[in-house]
Formats: sequence, C-alpha cells, structure tokens
Amino acid sequence: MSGTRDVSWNSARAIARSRTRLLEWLKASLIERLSLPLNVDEIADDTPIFGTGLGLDSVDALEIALAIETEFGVAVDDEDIAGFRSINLVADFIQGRIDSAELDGRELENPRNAMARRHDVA
Amino acid sequence: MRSPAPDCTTAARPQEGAVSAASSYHAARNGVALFDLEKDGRYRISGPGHMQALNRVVTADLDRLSPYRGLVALFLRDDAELVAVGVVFRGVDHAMVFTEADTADRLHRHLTETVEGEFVRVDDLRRSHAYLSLMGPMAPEVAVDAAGDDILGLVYLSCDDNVAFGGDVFRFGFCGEFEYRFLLANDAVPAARSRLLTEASAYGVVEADAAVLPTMMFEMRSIQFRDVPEGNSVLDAGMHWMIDFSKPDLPAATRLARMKTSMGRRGLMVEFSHDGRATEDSRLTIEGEDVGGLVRVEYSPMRGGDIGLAYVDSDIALVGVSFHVNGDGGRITASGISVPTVLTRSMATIFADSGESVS
Repeated sequence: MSGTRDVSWNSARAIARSRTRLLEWLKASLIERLSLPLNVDEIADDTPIFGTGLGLDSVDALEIALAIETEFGVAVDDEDIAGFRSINLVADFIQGRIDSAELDGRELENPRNAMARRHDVA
Repeated sequence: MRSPAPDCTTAARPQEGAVSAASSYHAARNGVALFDLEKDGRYRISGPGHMQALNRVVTADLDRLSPYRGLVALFLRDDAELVAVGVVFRGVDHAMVFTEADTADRLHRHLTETVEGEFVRVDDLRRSHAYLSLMGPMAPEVAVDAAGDDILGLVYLSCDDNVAFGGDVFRFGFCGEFEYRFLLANDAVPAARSRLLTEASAYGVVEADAAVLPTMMFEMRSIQFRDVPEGNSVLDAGMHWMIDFSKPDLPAATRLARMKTSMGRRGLMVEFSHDGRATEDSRLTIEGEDVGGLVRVEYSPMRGGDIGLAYVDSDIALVGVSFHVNGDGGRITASGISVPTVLTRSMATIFADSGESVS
C-alpha cells in the first residue's frame, strides 16, 4: 500500500458517504439499463459482473460504459471495460477519473429518468 | 483445525518434479498446473425427482439451469446458517454437486438428510472417482491437445462427458485462471494423468500442491466457508449473488429478507501498510474505537504483500476507508480494496479474445 492513509472518523465517514452514493447509483443504473430482476440491496459491492454474479456479457458491458460516459462525460475504452470485474472496480474507475470534490458535488441523475429520456429520443 | 496457509513468498520458476507452494502458485498463474482435488466433495444426485429435491435445498433456482450447465449456490439450514458453498451441474439424468474440502463431510450429511429419499439417490464419489484440475493461462492449449477440440466449446461453469478421457470434464475458474476439472473413475486415472502430463510437458506443467488454491481463491475473493465466521451471515459475507431472492420456496427466505435490511458487520477485503504484518483476529479501530476485526490474512505473491478479510461496521465497510490494526511491530494501517485483488493473465486473455469471463 503506497502513501499515507488518514485514519480518522472524519475521513472514514466522508469516504463512506461518497462511495455509498456512487455505488447505489451504479447498482440502480445496472438494474435499470439491463432490466435486472434485482433490488439495490440484493447486489453486494464485490458482486462479480461477468460470468457468475450478475452474469453479464461483453454486450452488457457496453451499457455500463454508456452509463458512465453519459453521466460523467468520461470516455471508456475496451481496456477499461476489461477491468470492470466487480461493482467495486467500476466505482474505482469512476473515482479514478473524476475529482472527488466534483463527484461529491454532482447531482447524479436517477437512472430511471436517464432511461426514459433515452427511450423518448429513440 | 485448518492447515496454515502455504508459503508462496518466493514466486520461483518451477523446478522439474517440484511441488512446493511457490512453484505451484507460479505454474498456475503463469503456465499450467495439475492439481489433485482428492479431498473436495463430489456427489451425484439421481433418481426420479432429483432436481426438484435438490432445488428445495439450494438458494439458486435450478429450474433456470440448462443441461450441461452449472451454477454456484448456497446450502443453508432453516435459520440461514451456512452448510456449504456448492456448485451444482445439471446432467441429462443426474446432477453433480461439488464443494471444497472443508465442507465435504458436512455437505454430504446435509444432502443425505434433506435430499436423499425413496427415489432420490445421493452417491458420494470421493472414494470411487478422482477429481483433477488443470489450471493456468496455458490450460486451454493443454486441454485441447489432451481431450480434443470439443473442449474449447466449454464455457465457464459448463460440463461435458469427454470420450478421450472416459470421464466428465467441467469448466471452473474460481482462482481467476482457466481451469478444467476432470471427474474420472479411479481405474481411468493413470491413463488420463499420463495423457495430461505428456501433452502439458511442452508448457512446463507442474504437478502442483493443492494447498495453494485457497490463497489463489482469496486473491479473487472467491468466498470459502472459512470466510463466513460464526456470528456473521452469508449476506454479511457479500454472498448475495449466490441467492435468487425471487425464487419460490427459497430456503430460509424470511431470515434472508430480514438480513437484507439489518446487516451486522460486513466483509471487506483490505491491504496493509508496509510497516508491519497484521495477524488474524486483530481488531480494527478508528481513533481508538473498535469497528471490526480481521478474520483472515494471506500473502498474495502477485501483489507482493498481505491482503486480509475483515468484518467491519457496515456503514464504513467500504473501499477506501482506512483503519488501524495491530501488527507484529506495532500499529499499522489497513484500507478497504476492491476485488478481485489481482488481474490474472487468464482474465486479460479471455476478455481480449471473446469478451467471455474466466469466472
């Protein structure tokens, strides 16, 4: 582990708050975009995305990439998608591309609204 | 009592005939290794109504399972206590159930108590059938040479009967590597083993020590029985994906539904600062306050450092959160990390080629 980590309640709560918000958005997005028969509280943070776990394939992975690109304006390439092995790793990717202050200040769109807009456009 | 984890600290190249933990790990992660899974549980379930009988006692919905396909499922008692993590494969006229060595006996007992009946048989194959695993990024090449091109059609968690071997072959991948498991009647083993080793000799195959497999699975966070300590539930351990919550007659359904909304401490994989080594059973603290404890610590050769599994207060059991823990030289830091904790050669290969998953 590199770097000095801050071990404090302030830090723990701030990180937990930010991460929880992102994970819930991510899970809700997956459920909505891929019509998964699951609730958010039925997806653990370490759930595998491909094969076992959510059982998604490479086509589904493109939906994940699209959700990220649409919400955050971040380009996602094939190599990035190959790293999306779990919900947590997708969250790591997003947090690695977006400044934490910007992420915390951003209003994350309700995935249902995003899908509704997409269908309207289509 | 479980054996101590093997020492994989030196990722040495395998020497001919060597079966050291380090050599075994290196072969399985970089070439090809042959493991004898002799202690793993393996049971054949057959007879009229066998799938229905099995479906009543697992958390996955076997009605959705096609022939020659498998899935991971939990065997639970009525109070949601974990009996075993199992893999169930559907055959044409039977099902196969596999589990790790630590839960082999208890799952066998559970199956005979809950599944076996007037028409349904539970056959324990541990004495009659060998169970070999061919694992590593080069395993597909060896498997094709040894068992024919048909084996390439096996996707993750699928199976087939293989004429070349006179036995059944199953595609697994819990260690994050390509893996083919062969279930063979004992009298077929010498010829099959000879064939595998001959075909694999060009790749420097190692007859490997199965004691490294728990470490390799831990790097993937492929959950094993020991990762769910007494007092913690399967949902605390993050095993949601092994449960079909919408399944009619889900075992322990009421308890599981309650657990979803009232989780205790949650499992979290952690890495450690380099200024000491943490030990299992150490407490995790923030500003002196106890927030959880380590249940497992293993050295990861691929990461070049220890990784651990902790159970932490659920509101802070998240990647990125840091804790203090007592190490052998004093207080060190542990921080939540994502899983899988390593990207293996097999994982990188398969996604590049086909978008399919190793596991």
